[in-house]
Amino acid sequence: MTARIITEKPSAKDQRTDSRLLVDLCAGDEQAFSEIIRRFQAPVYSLLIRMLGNEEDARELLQVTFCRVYKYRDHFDPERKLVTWIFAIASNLAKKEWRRRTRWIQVPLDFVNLTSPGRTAPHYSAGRLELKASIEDAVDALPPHYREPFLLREHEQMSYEEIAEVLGVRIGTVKSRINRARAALRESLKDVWEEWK
Amino acid sequence: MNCARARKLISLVIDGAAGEHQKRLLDFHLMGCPSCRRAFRMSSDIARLSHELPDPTPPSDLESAVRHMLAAESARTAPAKRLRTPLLAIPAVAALMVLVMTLSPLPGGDSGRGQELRTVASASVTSKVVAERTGSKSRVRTTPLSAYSRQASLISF
Repeated sequence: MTARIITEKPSAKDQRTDSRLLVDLCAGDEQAFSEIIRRFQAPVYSLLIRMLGNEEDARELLQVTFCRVYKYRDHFDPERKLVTWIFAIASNLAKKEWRRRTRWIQVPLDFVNLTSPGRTAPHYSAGRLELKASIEDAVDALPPHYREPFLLREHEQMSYEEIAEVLGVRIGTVKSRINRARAALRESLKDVWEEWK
Repeated sequence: MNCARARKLISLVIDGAAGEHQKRLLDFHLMGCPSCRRAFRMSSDIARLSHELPDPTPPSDLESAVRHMLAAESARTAPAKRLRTPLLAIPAVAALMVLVMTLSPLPGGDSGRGQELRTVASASVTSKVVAERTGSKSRVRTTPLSAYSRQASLISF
């Protein structure tokens, strides 16, 4: 299984690996922290905004995530991947937020729906556009324990092992949850898909 | 293979995590099961379109916001660290003083303590004598006075 996790590639100026960046940060290189933020802000923000459902909370937790990365940089195990460590921090913060508020499922994904550039792009056919929009809505409606592994797999293209590490669950649990998420999506999208295909 | 098992394999095949044997098993099942074939095509489409879901743009001032948050956090914790030292020192000094006072000899040494014991012994004897004088009526038998004197002299030495 191939993984495409990091959406931002190393900049032309900075070709260091992720682990090297954190080692340098521990050694006092503040520039390494800037590069870590640059590389990981987009995927972490994407996950948070889809999990939390609004821009304000996602921004706040994004800041807290990178604050924790900085604060607990000495706790990072170099044997692990930096991306799974950062996603695990973000995921735990999101879970804490879910516990804090009880009505999180009903919060609409206003930000994502309003700013999706793909929906207005001319090269998308109307049916495809509608299916994509429906997929977004259906994913938003998934229970959080199905939505998170599904997004990590489909959107971040993490491997099962990496997802298990981020969520702190077994690989079998990850497979099962993704399978159930797909089953739920098939059920909720069957009418739209029939029209689209 | 039943359909439930086939749906699990569909998920594995889409994720590229299925082995060759599992793929062949699924192919064989899909040939004879239109429902699972439909589920497979639908899951593939959903997966493909999910990859294309737009990425929301992160805030442009994230780094400065994070650094500001870190600075505020360190400013918040710094006074607490300064206060921690004297706050912890007060009970420590008090405990040390109590320990020193307990272990150090009293002024006057053993003579003072002996005097105190003698006073206690004599007070005890006096009370017994009074009790004997008045207790004859109450029929309470007490130890003879000589025994108390001997005990008191032992205590005093």
